Amino acid sequence: MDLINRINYTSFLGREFLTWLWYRSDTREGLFKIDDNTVEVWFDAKLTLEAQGDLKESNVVKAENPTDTDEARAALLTGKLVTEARLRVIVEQKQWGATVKADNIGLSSVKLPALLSREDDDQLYERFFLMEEMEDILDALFDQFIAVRLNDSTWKKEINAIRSWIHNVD
Amino acid sequence: MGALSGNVTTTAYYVDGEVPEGFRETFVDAMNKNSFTDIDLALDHDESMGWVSITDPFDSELTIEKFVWGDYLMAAIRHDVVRLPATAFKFHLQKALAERREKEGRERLTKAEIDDTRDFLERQLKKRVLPSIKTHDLVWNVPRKELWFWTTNKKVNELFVDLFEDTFQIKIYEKNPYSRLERMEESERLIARALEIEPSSMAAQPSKGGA
Repeated sequence: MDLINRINYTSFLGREFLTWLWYRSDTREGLFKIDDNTVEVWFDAKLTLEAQGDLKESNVVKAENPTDTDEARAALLTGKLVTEARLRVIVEQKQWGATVKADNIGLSSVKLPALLSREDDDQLYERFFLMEEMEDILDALFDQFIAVRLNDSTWKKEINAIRSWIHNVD
Repeated sequence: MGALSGNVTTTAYYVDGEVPEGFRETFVDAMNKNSFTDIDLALDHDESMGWVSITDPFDSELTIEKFVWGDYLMAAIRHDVVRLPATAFKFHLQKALAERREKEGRERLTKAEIDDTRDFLERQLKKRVLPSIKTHDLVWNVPRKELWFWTTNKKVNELFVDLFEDTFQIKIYEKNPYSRLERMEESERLIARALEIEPSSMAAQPSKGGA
């Protein structure tokens, strides 16, 4: 399989990742463990869900907590997956806002935590450091998803738990 | 909004391969060979793209001091385009054709004459139009082998990748689930597995009794 086809074939992992992230955030009070840190991940402001396959149908939910809306839950029930999400990420005293797109697990409209440095040069280093920290957090979350997703036995349990969550079954 | 201030909207890339010995000097020379130059209307060009300083879009003479910043390499791509507003051009063309018909005392012009009038008018009017100027910042963390390019526009990213690879002779790959797998430990195994599995139906009914 050539590179373009490999990229296209595996693109579904981005959508499953964001949907899994919603499930995990919702069921674990937003808390994730990354190395020795506890990271909070919440879904803010805007959530986009799209149908899979040839059907071009989408729901764009704009609300303070879009994942709590009936519209978002109904979209999940019809089989739509998250293709774009606005996240709020908190580590210790630092908070980022970022829009994540499933197709390239890319960050856009990132609002960085307030800078603590005073000098221009130090501020620029701090800015890039904070950007990299956000990238690292997102990468670590994706890696956690992959560890579960690409293992048959862990995914069997996880997907059943996700389905129970979607259908609101204990 | 760019690398130096404001909100961050970027396309992230992974850098494939190592930078050469003495890369700072080599890269600055290479960027100056591909630096921005004004649109050459005499050659019927409509656009121009090239490297400029990240702090000054009118500065296309790069030096190490302007480009290297600790572990980071920073520059901008400037992309100028000359575009004639379509409706205004249409009116000017109608006027020019009417004047030519009157001058030559004919009711109709040939297709070649119409094309000739259009081409001439286009060249004349482009000299009077200010090109649009857009700049997009690049920040490259060399040891991390990652870079950010400050736009998510698909076409501009395609042009950026071509310019970057021509300038630095290094391949870059946009970040996506596949390229992330390539960077992970046991990447071969993970990729092979990812290519075997199929998307899950997350909305299917859960099975009773758990897994």
